[in-house]
Amino acid sequence: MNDYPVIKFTILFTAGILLQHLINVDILIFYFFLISLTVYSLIIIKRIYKHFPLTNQFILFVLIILFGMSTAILNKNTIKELPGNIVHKKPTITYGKIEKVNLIQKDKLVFEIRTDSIITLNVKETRTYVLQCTFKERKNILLKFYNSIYPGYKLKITRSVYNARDKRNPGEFDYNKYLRTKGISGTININKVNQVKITGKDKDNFKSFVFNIRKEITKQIEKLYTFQTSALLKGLLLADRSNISYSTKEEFINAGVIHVLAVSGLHVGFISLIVIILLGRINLFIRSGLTIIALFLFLLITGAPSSVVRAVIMGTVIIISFMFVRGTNIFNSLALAGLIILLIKPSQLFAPGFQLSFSAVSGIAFFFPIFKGMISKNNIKSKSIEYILLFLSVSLGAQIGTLPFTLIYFGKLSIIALAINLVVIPLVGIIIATGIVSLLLNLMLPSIAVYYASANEFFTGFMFWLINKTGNLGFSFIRISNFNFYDAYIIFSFLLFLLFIKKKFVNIYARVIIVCLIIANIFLFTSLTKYDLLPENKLSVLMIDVGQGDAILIKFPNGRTSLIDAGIRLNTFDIGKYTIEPLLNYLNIDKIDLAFVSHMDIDHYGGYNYLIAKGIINELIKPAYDSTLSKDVKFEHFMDDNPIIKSYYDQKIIKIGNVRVYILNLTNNIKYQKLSGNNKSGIIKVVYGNSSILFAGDIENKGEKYYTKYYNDFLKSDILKVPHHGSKTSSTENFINYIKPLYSIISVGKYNKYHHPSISVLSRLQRYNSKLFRTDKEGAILFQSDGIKFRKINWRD
Amino acid sequence: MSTKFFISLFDFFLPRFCPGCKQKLSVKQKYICDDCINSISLATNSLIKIEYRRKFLDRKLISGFTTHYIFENDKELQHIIHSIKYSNKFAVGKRLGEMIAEIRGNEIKTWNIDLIVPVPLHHLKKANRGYNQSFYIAKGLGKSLNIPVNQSILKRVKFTQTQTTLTLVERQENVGNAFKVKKTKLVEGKNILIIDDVITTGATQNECAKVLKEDGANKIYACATAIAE
Repeated sequence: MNDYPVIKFTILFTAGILLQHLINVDILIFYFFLISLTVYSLIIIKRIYKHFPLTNQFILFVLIILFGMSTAILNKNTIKELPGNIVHKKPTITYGKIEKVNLIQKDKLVFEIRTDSIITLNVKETRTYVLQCTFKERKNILLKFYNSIYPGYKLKITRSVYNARDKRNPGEFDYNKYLRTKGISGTININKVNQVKITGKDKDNFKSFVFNIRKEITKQIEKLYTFQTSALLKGLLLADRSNISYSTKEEFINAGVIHVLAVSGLHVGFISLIVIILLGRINLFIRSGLTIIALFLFLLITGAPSSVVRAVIMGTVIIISFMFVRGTNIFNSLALAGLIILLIKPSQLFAPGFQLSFSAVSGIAFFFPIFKGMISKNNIKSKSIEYILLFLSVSLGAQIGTLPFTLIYFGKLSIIALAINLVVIPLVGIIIATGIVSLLLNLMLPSIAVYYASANEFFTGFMFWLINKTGNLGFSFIRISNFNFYDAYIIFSFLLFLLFIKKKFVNIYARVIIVCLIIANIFLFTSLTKYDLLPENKLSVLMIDVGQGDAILIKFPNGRTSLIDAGIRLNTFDIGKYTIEPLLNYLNIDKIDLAFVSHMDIDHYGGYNYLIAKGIINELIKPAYDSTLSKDVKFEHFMDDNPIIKSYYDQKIIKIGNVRVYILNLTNNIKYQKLSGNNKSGIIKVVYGNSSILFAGDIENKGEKYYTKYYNDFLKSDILKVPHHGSKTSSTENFINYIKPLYSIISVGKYNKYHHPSISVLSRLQRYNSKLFRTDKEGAILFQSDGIKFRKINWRD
Repeated sequence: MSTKFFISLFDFFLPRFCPGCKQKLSVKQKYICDDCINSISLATNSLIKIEYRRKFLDRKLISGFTTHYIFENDKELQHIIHSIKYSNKFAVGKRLGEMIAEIRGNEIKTWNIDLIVPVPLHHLKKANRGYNQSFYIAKGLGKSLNIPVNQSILKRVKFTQTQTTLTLVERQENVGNAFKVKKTKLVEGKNILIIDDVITTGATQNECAKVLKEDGANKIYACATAIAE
């Protein structure tokens, strides 16, 4: 490392960016500090340098760190937030220029515009924003529009502007923050072609050129391949993974091969090889120059994700060092690539793509030589076994390198990864190579290209089959939730410590003892950093943000769990699959012991279909079977087909540890039976010591009247789940007066079409001094009780 | 000042190392460090005479021969030559060519050379390595002495196995009929200097000289960076 100063420089520079991220210094203070430090160092160097020559180096160290900090400060996220008075307003007209057009997908087209002005009723916003537009329409209309636009064209869009979804529930992906890192301030959803009009046709020539190439390659791929294979090839050649489905990606993660979907070094290698083969007879310098140009062209075509930038820079560095007879090693080129990327965009340091790509390569560079040494020590007779072992050690090195990040981002540790990678990596190599060859051939000899394509079709089919089979095996991965950066730090320091002391212990027993001790230490220290969001010995109530609908997770002090409602299910979106299951995974909950369906409305029971089919629900209580209701008939049949204990609401007390769950429905009462479906919602009161909470489903004024008459003061609770999302037909004065809630929680969707919650209900609750919390304002709401009283917990920390 | 600045800046990002001792090069040093250059044993005039008699006199194809260094196993020069051949350091070859010109230039000038021809590589080997190392040595020499270099005159038509472990007889057999002259017109009546990296038995040079003479060359001379005993 001493021979390569860039490595040190990059490490210090990165440390500077990290430091700025942690302490977030203001720009003025920073420059004051910088100037005074310069003055001091000038004095110090003059006076002390003779006695302490190290001060010189120290000052250099500090200066590089400060350089990193200043780069981070200057490049501070300057993405503007959309002002509140133009978000979700009707009508809104946006004028802007097309910045970038993504490849068309099966059912939608995504493009970005840079706005000139956004005009709503009485506001005109002329500052510039980048907005992401999603256009959903019938396929042929979409295609026609897709073929008529180019980057640079001016558009007029008559649709509301939104902020993208931020982190609404614990462990959830923050899409808004992600878009911000890409420079996007907000989103527009277009669903009819007349909402968007082309008003000017000044092409941005360069961007249109790149767009045309991407489009042309896509066209060729789709001409030759089936949907599944072309989705994969678009991912591998154009870094466009939008057509690969969520569940396929999930399988790739389980099997530990998600990394092959990232375009990277393998591709750069192939492209260099192709250029070298094509131009084998040309002068060395010209050939090298052309290779570099080809790599940069490839960079443009893929849209420059950081894995490609990394690989292209590393490839270029190798070529340049070859041309100018200079030395480089993998760490040096990696450091150079990192430095260049971070100089341009310091925020990349916190982007998953950057982290995974760089940690994978450093893992290989660091561990591969160690493994190789071990292998060659053992004198393996068979060459092929030796090659397999070497290949495995590359894969293992990358896995160890990326481990902390895969655990943080995916929450899973794939056990079968090594074995599957042994097959999948060469297979992907073959698929890419055959893909490129078939596309090139298709330009000249389409009749032969077809044969290549069908061979590739077979390889891809086999790969998908293998990953599908292995990724869905029960033992394919271990779930590791709540893994954080501190844990990663602990594990890595112990690993380095192990490597460091390994040489000092020759005795095999001593080594085994050391390894055991270190593993024990890792467990001890990582358990110290564990922070359990829903701890045992407390009653936790988490009102999940499911948009318009209800879903409330309860964890009892004895560790048992309950779920009241599971949100909505639409053709395009299933809360059970996309919100609740990931949340349960994040919270380490495998099974819901007791579930409730408050009543048979789709925004309350919809998510259960998926959860029941997945075997997550153990027992379920629902309103009495209503054979006149077709959705109830269907749901009953569905439950009968699955191993689940089912029962119906009836007045009773369920004891779960020290907690009592009262079900207040009076099913046998004649007056009750006359009530409407909403009014028959399950009314559940949960009491733990002195604290209590009442879940009132979707009941309306008739039901409220009925229950207050029967139960009187028994309804009094600390927290009220406000009935029917705060609708004005519920939460009557009388009802609130009996409950006297200290806190009221409302589950309601942002900008819902029913205009829930009603202003009159909100002001009524305010009059009763009830503190109000809404999921549309703050996302999930968490309350915890120790048996004395409920406390609101901020889960975002 | 400015070139020095750029070199040291470039060195910061991609440092240069001496192929002989693997030490970092300073800004002033070019390709090979001074220590290494000074520690390579020089070929004396008497040694060159003896070796000429041993290797070339019998076949009477090569009229003159000169070299700069003595090739010894596991010494700096072996590392340097290996770095040219196997670690992509082709430009070091150019430097070696210049160094030959500095010492042996006057001698070579007396031969009235019209054309310098590097010993060719088989095209497969060249594709594998990316370049012909002897061409860069020839280039360095030709540039210093102002003599044209042409690497497409000779062609290696036989893919010979590597000669490093072979004896003289085996080598002669190995390189027999390995070469062909591609551009006869350029050869006729010319004095040609054949350049190779290391001369061991002289078999390769004799074979090149043979085909060149058959195609009408006047006098053939041989030169290499080093001679192996």
